Amino acid sequence: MPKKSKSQKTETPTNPFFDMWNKFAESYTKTNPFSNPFTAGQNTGGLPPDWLKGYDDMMKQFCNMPMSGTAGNIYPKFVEAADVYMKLFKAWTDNAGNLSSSPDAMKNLLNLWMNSQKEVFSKMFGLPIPSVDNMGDFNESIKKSLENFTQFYDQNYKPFVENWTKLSGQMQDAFNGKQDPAKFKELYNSWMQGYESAFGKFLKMPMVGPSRQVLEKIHKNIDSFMKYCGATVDFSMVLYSPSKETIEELVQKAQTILKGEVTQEKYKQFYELLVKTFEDRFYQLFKTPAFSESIKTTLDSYLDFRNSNFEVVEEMLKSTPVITRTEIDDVYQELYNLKKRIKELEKLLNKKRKD
Amino acid sequence: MPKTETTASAEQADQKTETRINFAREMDFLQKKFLKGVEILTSPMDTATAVSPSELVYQEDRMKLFHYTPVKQKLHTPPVLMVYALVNRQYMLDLQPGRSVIQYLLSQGIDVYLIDWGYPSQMDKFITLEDYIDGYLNNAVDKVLELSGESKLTIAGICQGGTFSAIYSSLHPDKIKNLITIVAPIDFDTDTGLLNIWAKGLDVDKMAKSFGNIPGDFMNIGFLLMNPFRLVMDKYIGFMINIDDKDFVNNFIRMEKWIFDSPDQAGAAWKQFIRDCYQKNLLIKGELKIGAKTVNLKNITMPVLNIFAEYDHLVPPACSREFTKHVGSKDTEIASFPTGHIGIFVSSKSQKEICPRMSEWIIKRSSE
Repeated sequence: MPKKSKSQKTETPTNPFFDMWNKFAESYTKTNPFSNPFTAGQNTGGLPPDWLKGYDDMMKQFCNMPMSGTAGNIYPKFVEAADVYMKLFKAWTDNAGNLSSSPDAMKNLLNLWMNSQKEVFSKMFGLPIPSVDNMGDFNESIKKSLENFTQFYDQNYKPFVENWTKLSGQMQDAFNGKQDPAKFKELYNSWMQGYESAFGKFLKMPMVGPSRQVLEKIHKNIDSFMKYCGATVDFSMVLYSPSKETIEELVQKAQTILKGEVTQEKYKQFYELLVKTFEDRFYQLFKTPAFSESIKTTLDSYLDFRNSNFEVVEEMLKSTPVITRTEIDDVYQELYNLKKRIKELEKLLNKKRKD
Repeated sequence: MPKTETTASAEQADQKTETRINFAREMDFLQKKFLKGVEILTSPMDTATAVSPSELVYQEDRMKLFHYTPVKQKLHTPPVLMVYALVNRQYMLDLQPGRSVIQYLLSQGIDVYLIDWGYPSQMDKFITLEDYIDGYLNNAVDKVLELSGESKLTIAGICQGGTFSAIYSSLHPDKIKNLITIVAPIDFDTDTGLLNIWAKGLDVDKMAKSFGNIPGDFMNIGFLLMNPFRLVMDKYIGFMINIDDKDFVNNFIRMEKWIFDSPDQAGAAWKQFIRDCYQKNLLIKGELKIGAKTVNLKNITMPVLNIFAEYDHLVPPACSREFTKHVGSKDTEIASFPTGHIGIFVSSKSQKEICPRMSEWIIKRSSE
């Protein structure tokens, strides 16, 4: 490899990327009103000196304009940050030539760049950007942040995503030619579990802002509808298995009756058997705690949905000239109290009259 | 073809022909039956209810008090005030001539009054058990006493009306000469009735909040669910089988009209009844509160006749049977009949056995 000449060392790097930025930074510095105000007669980069002076004066006046309010706070920061931003490129241009010289140079360049970066963004946005010195903390922060995200994902989305994987298999079972309701229930339960552990939680999240109450009511309504659907599926399933078993039992019993020629009398026997078999089996089912629990859950979830639906409807009716049930209930309550009071007073009066 | 095979196939052909002929006959029979049924249903029908003459003697809000026109010159005293349930309508007691408890009692010289609770609207959702029992019922009793000139009366309560009558008799024993409870639930803690089982799990506050008044249709769904195969399927198959029988159709439609004539239940009263009676069984425990008063069944010291149905699926015998053991009266009688909840009033047994038993008991404890 030929030795590098002394003159070669001071030359700007030949890398086209750095060349481009170097030229850009150079020309920008020349026209930059913040860090290097030009004076007439200096290198004007080919621009007319009078124009530059005028421009420079204008910018100075602009920069010195008294600012107030939010703009007054932001503008100086913006000016300052723009200044630092330029330094960032200056750092590159000053040091890019040493890039290939040594690892230390590389480290210094990176350090310089990072500090410039930090300065820029801290000033612009007030963000605590780590420097190379505290990169360990930065890494730790990133690690923590990633851990938090993972935890958030695990808690909220993962169950739903995992469920979908599971569901895809279950869907095939549920919707294949047999259309097994038990499989469908399994599928629905999985879906509900996934929903509960993911989106269901978000629907219960407190809302903020002026529409907070309305949003919360709408979310509650969606959530209660999902639960009501789940409960009806469960309820159907509670009825399904006994129905299936009863039909099987009926078929077994009916075989004896329906042997040979089918007469009216035999059909009547079969019908009596059908009603009795179903009646007995379902009476036993209706007495079970499982059925009571299911009917309670279904009814409760229906009422929750119904009540939350009314809340949303009443919310929407507030802006219309339509009276709501809650409002008319207040009137009814007042009427009830007044009627009761009048009856009491009438009784007292009648008693007094008799006395 | 061998001879035996020829005979067998000829027999099979004959059998097929006979089956076809039978099928055609059956179709012809059903078609005629159906056409006759259509003719009956489209012609004027006799499905009137509440046929005995009566007079409205008192009204308070929705509640009406009727006095039945006596059919005998001499009347037994004191008068009888009949208290029906808030569920369904009171005209079950006077369904049609020949199937009327009221008509039977009138024919025996008993002076009969009847409460009609009416149809509550949403405006009545705040009415409580106290309003019904210590308000409307108490005022009706006072009115009957005022009109009859008596100081006491016989109260006869049916189903939930029986529960109300027992509560009232305990709170106002000074106004009650005799108490009759008919298929009335008093002890609600049983697992022999589906209503008792299901009611335990109801969130009554949520229901009352949602519905205001509990819809009669909701109650009906609950009743039908208790025996869906008989009540939703078999009953209507029976109707189709008898559709060409005019009397059957009239009775069926009349009954159907009554069954689904179901007033809504005032929310507050319903809530208290289900919670305090079905869920907590407070009445039998002596802890039920009506307003500020506690109901003590031991205060029932007047004669008591307790009638219940052995095949009652709405109010199982276990809910009624032991009632008289909890009262303070020494003159108590229990009468059970092998029929159902409605059969007590409309079955053939009703007119032949149940009404005579009731009127005899009343007359025995009355004076002319």
